[in-house]
Amino acid sequence: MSSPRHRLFLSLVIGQCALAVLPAAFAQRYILKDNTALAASEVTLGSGALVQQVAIPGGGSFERRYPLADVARLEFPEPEALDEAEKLVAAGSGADALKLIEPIYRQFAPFSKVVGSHWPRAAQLRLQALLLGTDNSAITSSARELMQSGLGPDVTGTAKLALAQLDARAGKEALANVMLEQIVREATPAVQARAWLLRGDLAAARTAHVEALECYLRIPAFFGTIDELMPAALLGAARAYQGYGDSSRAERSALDLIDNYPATLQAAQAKKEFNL
Amino acid sequence: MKKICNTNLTEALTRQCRALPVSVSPTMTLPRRSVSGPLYFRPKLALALLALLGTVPAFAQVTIPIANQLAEVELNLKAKKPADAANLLDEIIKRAQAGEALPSGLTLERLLLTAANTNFQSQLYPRAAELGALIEKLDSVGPAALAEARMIRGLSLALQQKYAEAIPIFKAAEESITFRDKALLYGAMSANQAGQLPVAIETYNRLLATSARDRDWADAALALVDLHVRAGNVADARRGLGLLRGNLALVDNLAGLNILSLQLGDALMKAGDNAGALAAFRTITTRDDLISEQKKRNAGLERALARLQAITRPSATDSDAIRRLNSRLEQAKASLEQIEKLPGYDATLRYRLAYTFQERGGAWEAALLYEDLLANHPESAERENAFFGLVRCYADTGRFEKVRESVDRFTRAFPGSKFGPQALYLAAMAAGSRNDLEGQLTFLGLATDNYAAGELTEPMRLMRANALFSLNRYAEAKETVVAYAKDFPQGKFIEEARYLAAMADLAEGRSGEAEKQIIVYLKDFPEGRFVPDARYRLAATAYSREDYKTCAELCVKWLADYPSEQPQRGEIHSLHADALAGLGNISEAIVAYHEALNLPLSDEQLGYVLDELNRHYQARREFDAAVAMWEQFAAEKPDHPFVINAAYWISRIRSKEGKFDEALELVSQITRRYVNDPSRGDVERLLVEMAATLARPPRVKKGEPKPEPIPEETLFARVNQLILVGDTRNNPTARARALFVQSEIASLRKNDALRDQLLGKIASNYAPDQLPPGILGKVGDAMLALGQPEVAKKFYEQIITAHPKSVFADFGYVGLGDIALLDGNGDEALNRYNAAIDVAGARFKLKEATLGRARAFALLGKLDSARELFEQVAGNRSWRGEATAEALYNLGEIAIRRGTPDDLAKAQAHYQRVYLSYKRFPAWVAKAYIRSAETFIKLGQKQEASNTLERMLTFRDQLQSYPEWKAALDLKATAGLPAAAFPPEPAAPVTAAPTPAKS
Repeated sequence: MSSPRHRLFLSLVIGQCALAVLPAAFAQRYILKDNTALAASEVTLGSGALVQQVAIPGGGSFERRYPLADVARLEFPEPEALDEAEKLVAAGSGADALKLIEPIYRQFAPFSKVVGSHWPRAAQLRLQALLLGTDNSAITSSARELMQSGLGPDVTGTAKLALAQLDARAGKEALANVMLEQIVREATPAVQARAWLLRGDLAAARTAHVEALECYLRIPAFFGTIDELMPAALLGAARAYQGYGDSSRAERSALDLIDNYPATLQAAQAKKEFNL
Repeated sequence: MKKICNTNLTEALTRQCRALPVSVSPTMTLPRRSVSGPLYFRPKLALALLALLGTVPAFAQVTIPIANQLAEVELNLKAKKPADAANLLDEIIKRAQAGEALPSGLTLERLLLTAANTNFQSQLYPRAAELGALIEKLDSVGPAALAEARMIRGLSLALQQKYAEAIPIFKAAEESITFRDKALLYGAMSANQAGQLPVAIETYNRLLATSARDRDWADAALALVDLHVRAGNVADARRGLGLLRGNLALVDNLAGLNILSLQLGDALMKAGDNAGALAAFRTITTRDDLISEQKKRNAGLERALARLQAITRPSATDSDAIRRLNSRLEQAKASLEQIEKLPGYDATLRYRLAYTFQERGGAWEAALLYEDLLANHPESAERENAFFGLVRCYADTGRFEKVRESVDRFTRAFPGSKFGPQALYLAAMAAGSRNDLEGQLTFLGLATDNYAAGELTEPMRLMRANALFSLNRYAEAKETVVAYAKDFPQGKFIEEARYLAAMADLAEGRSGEAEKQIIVYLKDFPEGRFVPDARYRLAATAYSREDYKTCAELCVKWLADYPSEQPQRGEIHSLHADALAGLGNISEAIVAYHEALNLPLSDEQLGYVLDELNRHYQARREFDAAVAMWEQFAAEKPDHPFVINAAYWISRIRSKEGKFDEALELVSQITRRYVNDPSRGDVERLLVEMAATLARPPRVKKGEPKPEPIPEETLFARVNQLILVGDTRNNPTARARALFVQSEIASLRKNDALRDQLLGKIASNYAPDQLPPGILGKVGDAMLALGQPEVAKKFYEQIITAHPKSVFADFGYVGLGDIALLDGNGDEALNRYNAAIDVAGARFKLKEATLGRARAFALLGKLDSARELFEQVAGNRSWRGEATAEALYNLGEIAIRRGTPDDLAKAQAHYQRVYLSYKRFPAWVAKAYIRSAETFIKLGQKQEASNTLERMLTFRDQLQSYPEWKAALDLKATAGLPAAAFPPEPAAPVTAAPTPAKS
């Protein structure tokens, strides 16, 4: 039998939990520059403004407009669909990912630069999903949109990388390399790492195995905390080792991949390619 | 500040470790103003005391009523004078202990608790601890008060640094559900401070097992990892760090986490767990990124703290949160400060990463890291070690050009480094292990040139002698060991040196001199390492001077003296057999060869013995015995590469006997074992033999008309029957091989169109990775000849990527060189042709590679190099044919570019040689004629020009289809040439009849 004091403590904890859960589940609010909070359920998105229907006592209503420029912050929970889409992109299912991303991308587009907006992540994921397909004009316009967004070096780097990837696909390797050179000098580590991966792919396509190895192996050597790029780097390195004639290192790289990232596409590919 | 890293891996590592910051959980931070939420002097209690005041009766004037004193206590507390309140509470306690009644509703237990708490707030820890102990002794104490009292006592003791005494108190306080987590936390911290690491670890473990995953959890986990590192529990520390890395969002002290990772990495490295160390180091971020991220987190902590501090009347929970936030912020700032004070942090991290990568075989990654360290941290203390590591990495990966270049940089940066000779010695060893003996000699030479003699001088000199010997530079090898023996008469390697000198003489053909040295060696080193070999060599020298009898006797003695497991035994039997054969005793020789076959032999010796037996059997026309030998070999060693030789010889012998069907059946049986496997490139040798047997015209029987050749369809069906049986029937590689045999038959029957059609079928029906290297090369060449370079390219690339060691690798390099030339890329073409020779050994395509190099040089405008190579091609008698015609024509072209009358005359001679001696190659003949005529015009010899053109135009059938035909007609019409006089043909240069060289 717990004492009244314990009961009080427990009820307090439960209350706190309830409070902690509530904002994540329901609080979708626009916070204006004057700290006014507008519940998302009470406003609609009009032309250049959030529109609130205000009921007049005794009947009727009028519209109150809040210019979008006055929105200082968004308090919207992170959409789970984006996490799901990220997994789909990693699994190579670009079209399925796009289905999840597009509504979020459109919903937050008017607030692309507002603090708390989920547009930057949605737009970057969208670009990655598009890159899995062949719609080059959509990729180009998505990349340009991100470059012009002014959302910082990470976003700009991602966009530049996509453009380099398009150049590479079009066989304009020299052009791609100019862009990649710039990225590895200036971009954030995450983007730099992806640029090295692409450089590795380009070198591998030329069967320049030493160059490919030096690009792929930069990921484990310099970007060891970016786990998501490791499977591609290890598979690329395994192939490049094989091309270079070092089959024992090739096998070890493939085994590293299979042991440490067993659920990835690259691990499955490595098993097949290296008979492991 | 604790210093944890004490690894002594290398001087530099240690030095850097000493400079590193180290503990994340600095000195214990205990609450100094209040204990914790429920222990804080609560407004609720004050209200209760005030309420009591109204109910207490008034006392006599001389004695202040306890109720009044309690009111004063409350006033003092409100006025933030806890020390005054504590004094008053002590007085009240004394009065209560003296028997005076307390106001109704106030128990002694509550009074003592309030006093203990107030003393604790006033930092009067001895008194607070004393009061806590008093409460614990009360008979009537309730569980809640008991728990509070224990916490006050435990903390008071800890704050007096009586950590060991505090530990059991906190342990007892764990009984309370309310205080369990805090009791565990403070208990662990006290145990840590008391140096009782196992107790601290065990307590933290119990705390983390049940507490929620929040920022407090992350703090405790960090502290636990720190303890594990210090206690040497690297596996537990590694697991803990992994857990924290998975919950990074909860970790406010990222700098501390990085420092711990560094310490853990060092500990793992010290324990020899390089994989674990690498895993720890790889999670560490660079200094700038870390500082930037930590500053962000510190700012977040400060914002959270400011929000809490702005609360006017903070609750006990708020106060506790403030205290914990403050403590966390202090720790994070301290860790950040440590990182900021370390300019060498990144270099240290790079070095550790590189070292651990290298130690676990990641020489490529390590080289990248060392290069980065050397390029970006020029002042780093790790530079010398980094250079040493870099040289080793490049050597380990076989990039010897990079080794040379890095040794050069190393020597310039650290001319007297003690690591220099070591690095070169290791590089030399690596080069030797890759059979790059020239490279090995280079590194040994660099060591001698750049560094004074040291402990490695002896092994390096012997290594040099061995390398020279292996390169067949016997005289230099001998010179080296003789000098070694002179400088180190008692040296560690004197026996090896003496024996090597004898072997050098033997290899140079001075067998008499060698024999003498071997005899002296055997006398001086009767138990020496090389005695069995020396005795074998003595027998071999006897054989070489055709003293077969002595040789046989020495062999017999050798075989009697050494046990059956002596590894050279097979070789001795083989030599014995040779001696017996030399003595004409073939039957015994055959027995001796069979003895050898039953013992371990190197592949080279095995091949020799098999071939000798095969030769003797055939000479004695014992075909069945020869076939039986090969069949037995193939049955006993089904996976040995010589099985293909077995099949080849069986087929040849049976064909020689006219037993074509039997030959085909035997060869197809062995072929089918490997026909599905594209990596077995030697199968093609059998396939070619099979094609030759099938394409053979039927024998003419005496008195009967010459039989009609067997139709190709029939032969092709037979090919399928022979190859595509059972599991090979639907195998793409086997099917492609069957098509290849058919194409070879077409080729042998001079049906080039059918051959190309069949090779084209292989190209379109099978992916390159399904084809063996020999077929890839043939298909690539066919596609290139048919004007499909893009298709050909896929096949050539497959050869050099999937079968770089294949004997057919030069097909790939030469093919890709030809395609690069077609694309006008002279540099790439040159690289490919060079690789065909240097990497692949140009076993089949030396002529094409040499001609290709010449063409590439010509394309690049390097005419002297081109001329030299064209002359090489033109002068090689075994290559005589179209390559010669092309080379001569190009020599003419190069001469013409110089333009002097002398050069024009030379050019003319080259052109004439083409159209007179190489008429079988009309494309070159047509070109040569027209250029010859033009050259005559340049030389002002119009009559000769006219005659040349007229002579060319007599070869209408051969030359009319070439563009030069029309050019000749145009030149004749427009150059104003006189009528042709048709003098006799100029004398042809003395050359052998042109025969197209087989590629």
